[in-house]
Amino acid sequence: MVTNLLLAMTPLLLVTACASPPPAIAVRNVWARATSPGQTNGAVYATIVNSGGADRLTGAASERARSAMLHSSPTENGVAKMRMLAEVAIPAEATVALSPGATHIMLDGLSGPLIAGEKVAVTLRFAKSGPRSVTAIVTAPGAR
Amino acid sequence: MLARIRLILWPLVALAVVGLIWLATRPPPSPTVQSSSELPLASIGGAFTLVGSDGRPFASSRLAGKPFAIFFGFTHCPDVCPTTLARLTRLRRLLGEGDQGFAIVFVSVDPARDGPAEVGAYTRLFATPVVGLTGTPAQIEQVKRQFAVYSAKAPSPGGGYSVDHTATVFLMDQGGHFIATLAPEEADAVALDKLRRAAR
Repeated sequence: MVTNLLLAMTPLLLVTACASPPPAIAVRNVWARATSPGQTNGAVYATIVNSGGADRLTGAASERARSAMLHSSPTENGVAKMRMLAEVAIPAEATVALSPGATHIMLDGLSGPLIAGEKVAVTLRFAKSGPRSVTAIVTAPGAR
Repeated sequence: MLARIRLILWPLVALAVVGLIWLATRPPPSPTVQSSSELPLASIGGAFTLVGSDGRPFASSRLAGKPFAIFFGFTHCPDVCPTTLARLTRLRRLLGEGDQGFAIVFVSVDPARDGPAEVGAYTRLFATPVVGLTGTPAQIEQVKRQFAVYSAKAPSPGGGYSVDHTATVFLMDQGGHFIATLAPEEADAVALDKLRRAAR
């Protein structure tokens, strides 16, 4: 009898298990380092705070650059590399830092150098939360 | 009874005599052990000539008189290179001896894209003296060998390229001798300790 009841409930239990809560994303502390006139690219950093279910950062865009890509800068055996990432996992109830020397958004094909004090509009695209418009503050290169 | 003790003692005496002879005749400890471990350190660095941001030859003798921290990178490097240079400028501030504390030297490993103007503009961003150097591909290869620096082009999806390169900073004393490396992940306190050692 109990077994039958459990069997009958199985589909219901499965549905409950799959329906994770929606992500609740807040993007904070968005900044970029100033670049020199010769540089065609720059990096944007941010702190992504997720107080809900899991999500994924799948891309970015900015009118100040031809393209924006998710990048990581792993240092392996003392050698710094830069590689494109298809996406960045944003786990449930987690804070993900895009920070110097690690994961960052690379702005490629800058329309001009990023000037300290400038505010740059950047759109972050999340798989579930959709696009989020944020403002990156450009800081002096040696400031942080 | 006494005879039995003598019987046991004589072999011990013989053993002690053999041991003393061995101690007296063995070769002295090899002096090469210490110098072979110092050899790799001594081979990092050395005199070099590159091209300064003014387009003129830059001889390493111009760095003599104070320690210097030398880093190899490229100007189209948006993350690791400016982060490393920013860290060095911060460490120099923390050291509290002004620009005299140590020189910061940036050498491009991408001479095809980084001419004197590019390294000049890149290093001027930091609002504190940073020596930007480039050179002919042969000059860059030579200085990379001197510092055991690796670099290799890595194609980007967009058609351009990035450059994988040694992220280590080499710390040299005022005579241009290798003192220590600074790794990206080590704490400021550790790096400052090395910098104080370099200044001695």
